[in-house]
Amino acid sequence: MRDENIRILVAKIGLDGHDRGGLIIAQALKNAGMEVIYTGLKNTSENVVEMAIQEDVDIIGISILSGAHLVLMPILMDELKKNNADDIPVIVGGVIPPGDIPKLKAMNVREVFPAGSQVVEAVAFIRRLVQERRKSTRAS
Amino acid sequence: MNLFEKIKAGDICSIARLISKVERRDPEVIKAIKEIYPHCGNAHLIGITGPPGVGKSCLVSELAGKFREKNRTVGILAVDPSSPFSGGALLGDRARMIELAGDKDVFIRSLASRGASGGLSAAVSDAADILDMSGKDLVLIETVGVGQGEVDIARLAHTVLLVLMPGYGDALQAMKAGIMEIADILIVNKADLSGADEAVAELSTVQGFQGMREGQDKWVAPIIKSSTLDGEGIEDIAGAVLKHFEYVKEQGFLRKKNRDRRTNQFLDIFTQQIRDEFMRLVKVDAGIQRWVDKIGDLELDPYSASEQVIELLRNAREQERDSRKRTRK
Repeated sequence: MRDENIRILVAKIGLDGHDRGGLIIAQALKNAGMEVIYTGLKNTSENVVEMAIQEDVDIIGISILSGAHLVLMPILMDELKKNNADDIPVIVGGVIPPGDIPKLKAMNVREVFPAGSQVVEAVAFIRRLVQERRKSTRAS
Repeated sequence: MNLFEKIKAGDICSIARLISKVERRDPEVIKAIKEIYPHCGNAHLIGITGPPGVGKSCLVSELAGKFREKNRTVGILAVDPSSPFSGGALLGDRARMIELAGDKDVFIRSLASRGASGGLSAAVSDAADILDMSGKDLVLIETVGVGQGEVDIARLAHTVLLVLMPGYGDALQAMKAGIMEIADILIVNKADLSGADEAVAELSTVQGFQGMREGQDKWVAPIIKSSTLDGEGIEDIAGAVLKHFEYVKEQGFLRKKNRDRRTNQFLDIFTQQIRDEFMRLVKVDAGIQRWVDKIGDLELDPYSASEQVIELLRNAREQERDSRKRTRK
């Protein structure tokens, strides 16, 4: 069977004006054969969840460089739960201090890619995660 | 509730998942479409096309907002190109539609063209049917940025908007024969830039060269200046879109447009299914395999081969007609 296109939402939430990182990862994921829905800057968590549901994405990638990840991510994860969409896995990339990574993972963020991460690592991780999820959701 | 009832009730999650199934040609979806089909035909399908960078996405967003003010529910299908190399795509249209966020009566979906060459994606027609059935009054379909030949939208939409911007003067000359002909409304967007009036004048001249439209259609496409910075022209465009639909209905063109669209759709599905079925048969039937090999070995030319198959179909039809006559006697 043909390898199905992975659909990923690359989103920026909160007051964060830096989108270079998000755009670079969006291009890299596109070049890896994925369909990337890019949200643009300064979205609310509500908007991001609405987009993820309408676009029926396989995974959500949040880019944060504002330092507000420990405030914004719980809101997003709650919003996903409220909309019965917490089966969509979430990953985070950006300026994340090493000490905060376990805190994000405790909120059920599946992986964190801090500054200095390799794009190929992210691509491989996303592929693996999406394939696992598809196996379990489509079999049921 | 089953899937059909959920979509009829406008359940966002069910609509989104069914569109995904259409995109990956999931066999389950054919069953769903069969159920949905008789309930379609209520939505006004509006195509928005034009070269890259003229502001189609922003305009779609503004127009959708205007239609919401008029209490119409709106579906949006935004198509962006897939990379011919990786198959991936960067779908950025909805980044320009943030103002519509949070409105439960607006459903936005980004589609990658996935190799389709006519400015749309293979899934867009079925996706429009799904939004139609979910109760959306208007479905806005934004094509990829087009050049001169991508006119598939004209076979799908009831009303086609061609969006241009100041500075397209020379390009317009080349467009005379191509994409200009499918436009029901001509828009000079980014009218806040200099040269908008000149662009309108050029469009009007090109329109003069075109002469009358084919057949009985006497609609003359209005030329409207717009700007999404200050909202100039948006009300006029929304008005023209609704007026065109009224015109199409009054003149009795709606039925013809719908029939043409469905005939094309049927032919696309039919040829695809014939291909699929034939490829399946070739794999399992040694006789057919040998017959196909004859074409490859230059013993049988492909035209005669195709004629032989059509002859078989014709004979089968005549036999069926004869047997029906006999049973009637």
